[in-house]
Amino acid sequence: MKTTEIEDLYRTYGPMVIRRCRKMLRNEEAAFDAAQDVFIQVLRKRQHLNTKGPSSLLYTIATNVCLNIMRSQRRRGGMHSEVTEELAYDWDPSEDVVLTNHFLDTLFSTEDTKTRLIAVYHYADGFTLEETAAMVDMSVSGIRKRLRKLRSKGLALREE
Amino acid sequence: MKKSEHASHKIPDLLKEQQILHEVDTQIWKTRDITEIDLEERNAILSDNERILKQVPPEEFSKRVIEKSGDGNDSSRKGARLFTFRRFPVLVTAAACTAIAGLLLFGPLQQSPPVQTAQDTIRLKGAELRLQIFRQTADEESEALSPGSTVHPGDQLQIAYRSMGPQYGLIASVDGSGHVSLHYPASIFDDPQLEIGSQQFLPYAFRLDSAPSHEQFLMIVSDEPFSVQETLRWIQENLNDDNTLPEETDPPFADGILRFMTQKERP
Repeated sequence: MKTTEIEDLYRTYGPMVIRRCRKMLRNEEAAFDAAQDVFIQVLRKRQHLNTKGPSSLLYTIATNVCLNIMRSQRRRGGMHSEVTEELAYDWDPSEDVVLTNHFLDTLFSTEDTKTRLIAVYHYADGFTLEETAAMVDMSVSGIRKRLRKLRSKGLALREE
Repeated sequence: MKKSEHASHKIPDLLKEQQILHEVDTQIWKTRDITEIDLEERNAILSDNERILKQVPPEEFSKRVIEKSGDGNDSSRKGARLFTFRRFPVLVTAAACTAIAGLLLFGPLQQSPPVQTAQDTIRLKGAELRLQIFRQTADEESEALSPGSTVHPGDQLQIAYRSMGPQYGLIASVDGSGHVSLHYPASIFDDPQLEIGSQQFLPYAFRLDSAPSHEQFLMIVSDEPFSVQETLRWIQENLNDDNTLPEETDPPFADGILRFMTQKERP
């Protein structure tokens, strides 16, 4: 991909990617930095860009990149973002904060990339199960299964 | 309120962005009644677009991306998570420079084949297929791992294969967290065609992360082309509770699968 193509892609989709990263990381500088990683990954998937509108792909890559950054930050005890607040709320507002914290710990420490992505799309972003399934290219029943498993892990942690 | 109900009433940011981009993905939003984005919100996004592009202009951003990718003028390099397998001091230096998505990516370095030691390998029936995992040693040589070998976070590994029969193949690994990493081909959009007859080292080596328990390497082969994306999904959906692909599970669309398990020692 030539420099001008990167520039064109950034001009159109860069702000969306940066907004996404900024919301997740709550830091504009970190968002710009993460956006560079997003575009590097997009360059590798450039063939896909020719056949389909790239916004969904870019959004997914941006979410994954930020989740990985957040995971690293959490390991160092520093994660805090709008997304985690939304996750905490949407996980289950009626349950106590201990469960919420356990849930987030579980989510960001032991779950695989796709499950984390699913949880963010569904709980934090407001995607329906069907929309989440379309975003991650899985069946709705597969999404349900993952979310059930995640929830049971959270509940098990509360019992400990 | 149930969470699914809550989710369906919230308008995802992506939908708003796609409305502004005139790129609403009907495959994703087919079950939703789409209402036009609020004018005030639209203007706020457009204003933010302008501010972002002013803050970091396209030329500057493009330059940063190319520099960070380590690609010079050609940023189409393949191989997420991977680095070239050559001289490890160089790699370690490069490792400090770039981290992408929590995985390490290194600039393209000149390749030289690793020193080969005793070839403990896994073979498919008929000895037509071989998968080897090499590890960098402290003295900058490489050692061939055996199935069941213990590996450690930070180990630098290089994969090689040799196919005397199947024309197409995918190499992936699954870690103890259930994360599936694609090693060959370089991306889900690439053709999984194998080089036939001689030992092939993948162009990039990679560094193991701190995921627990194990790293199970898988090579799935076929005489016919197949979808890399579908195959990765098949792997993900068929993992055991312990995040390994069970012995008795073979992909219906492929001719065979090799499994190479390594045990991960805690750091």
